[in-house]
Amino acid sequence: MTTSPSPHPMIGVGLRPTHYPYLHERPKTCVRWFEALTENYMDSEGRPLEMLESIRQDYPVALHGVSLSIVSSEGLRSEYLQRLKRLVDRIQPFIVSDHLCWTGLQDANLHDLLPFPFTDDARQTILNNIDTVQNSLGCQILLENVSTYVSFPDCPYTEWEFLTLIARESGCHILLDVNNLYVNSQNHHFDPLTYLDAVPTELIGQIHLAGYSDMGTYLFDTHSKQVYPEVWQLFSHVIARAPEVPVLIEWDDDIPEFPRLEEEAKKASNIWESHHGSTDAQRLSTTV
Amino acid sequence: MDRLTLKDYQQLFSQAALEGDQSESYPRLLDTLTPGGTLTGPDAIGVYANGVTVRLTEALGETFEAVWWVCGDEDFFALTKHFIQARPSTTYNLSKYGKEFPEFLDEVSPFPDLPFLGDLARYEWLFKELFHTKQHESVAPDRIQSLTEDATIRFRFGQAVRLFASRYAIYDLWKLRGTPHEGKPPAEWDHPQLLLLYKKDRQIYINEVGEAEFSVLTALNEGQSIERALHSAVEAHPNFSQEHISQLFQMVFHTGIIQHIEITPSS
Repeated sequence: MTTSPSPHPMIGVGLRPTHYPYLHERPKTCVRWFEALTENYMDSEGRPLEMLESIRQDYPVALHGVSLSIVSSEGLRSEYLQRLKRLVDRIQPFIVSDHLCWTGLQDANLHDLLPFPFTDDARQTILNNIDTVQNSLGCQILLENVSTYVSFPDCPYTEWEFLTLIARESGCHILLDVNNLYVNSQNHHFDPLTYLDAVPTELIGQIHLAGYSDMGTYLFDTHSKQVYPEVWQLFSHVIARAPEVPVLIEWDDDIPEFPRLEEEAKKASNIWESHHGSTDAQRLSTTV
Repeated sequence: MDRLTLKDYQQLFSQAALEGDQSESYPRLLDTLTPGGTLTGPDAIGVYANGVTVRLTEALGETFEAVWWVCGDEDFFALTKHFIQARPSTTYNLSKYGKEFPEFLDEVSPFPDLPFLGDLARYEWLFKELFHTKQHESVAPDRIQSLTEDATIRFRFGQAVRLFASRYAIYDLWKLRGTPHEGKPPAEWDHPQLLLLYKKDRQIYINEVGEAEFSVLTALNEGQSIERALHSAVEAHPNFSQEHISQLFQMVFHTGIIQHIEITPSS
């Protein structure tokens, strides 16, 4: 599940049903890979899965989940793991990821990426759960830092210390969401560069870029906007030292036409090139 | 104050997100966290509580589009709010939330002048299930047409086949979803409708069938032999003629709903 060195920026976009008709025509795109939301396909044998398998013929695919609930104190759902494994075996993704969070209790799932205190109690739960997942799937997973709207005072670890510790101790890698990092820096009043510089490059397996919404009293991770300049700056900072890390443009709400997503992908590509030299533009624009 | 264990914290948070400040655990939870941005503690918890409601409501709205259309925004959201409180999600997949919504509508019977709501919701759930079902491989029509009559024959329908019966014209209502209407739904819904739904060429097709035809399809789907299914149908529906039977089997052949044929030679 590791990526091979690439002389070109590995920029991908999220695969969303609204773009199926466009992608069905198999247009040339400037994206190098797609990320599919795991839960959209793990319980379907219908058109969504057919579309994913069709895309998989032409592109590398990453599977990104929202329901693993790796921080669950109740343990993981065996049915979920079985279905995830079946999908992984079928699609052969180059990355399998989810979020460093919990999503609710088994008798009342909240279907949200929920915050938790960075404690040793949580750490032990997470390590046990990651071990279960990685053994079950037979591969390494990536876990993403999430946006939060509450924090917990007097925790023994900062978010970045905790994230790094979990990755080091479990063998999983980090899906670094630069937008979430920025949102949290504003919501919880820390310097985003402190976070960014504290995460070891070798533990970053993927980067996410997205847009947030300013709600006046806090920043909200909505994935409904373009990537903001502050987030591009942070991306530039991290991609300078992590040229081979796959990068994804996420846009989940108010989703624009596919070419608009490609514009965002090209921006990411340009930033990559500003650090690592120009790529063959023609190749980039026709690579599938 | 001692720090909560992860398990205790998750219980508190979950209760607060679902029940809001009515939850007993609410004050304790507020003590454990620092709100983000310039939010107050209750507002910060409210971000999550509101998110739960929004997501579950969206999931219900996506699946039960026609129920939403019939009820209108205000009544639909009141219903979904009630449902979400009564039946929290226990599924890991948001799109699978709402399986009990049709029965809930039957139970609460929210609008006496819309008695079909439960059936309409049931139809929408069934349609969604069919959408996510793999299309089966059909038996070729020439294989079916070559069957001899001196044998006991049973059909097994493919997994992408559903039969749906309602006292109300559910399909007529469902087809109109999304069209503007004020007050009562525009369709003439107060008559029975019997439906065969199936996938062919990766599309979902819906055929309305007659009562006798539906009884034959149901019997075949339950594993009865053709002979027995037809015998029962003719007994119950004396007007079910040879011509009707012929038309029914033409339809069965061409819809591709048969996945397997079991032939037992007559003794």
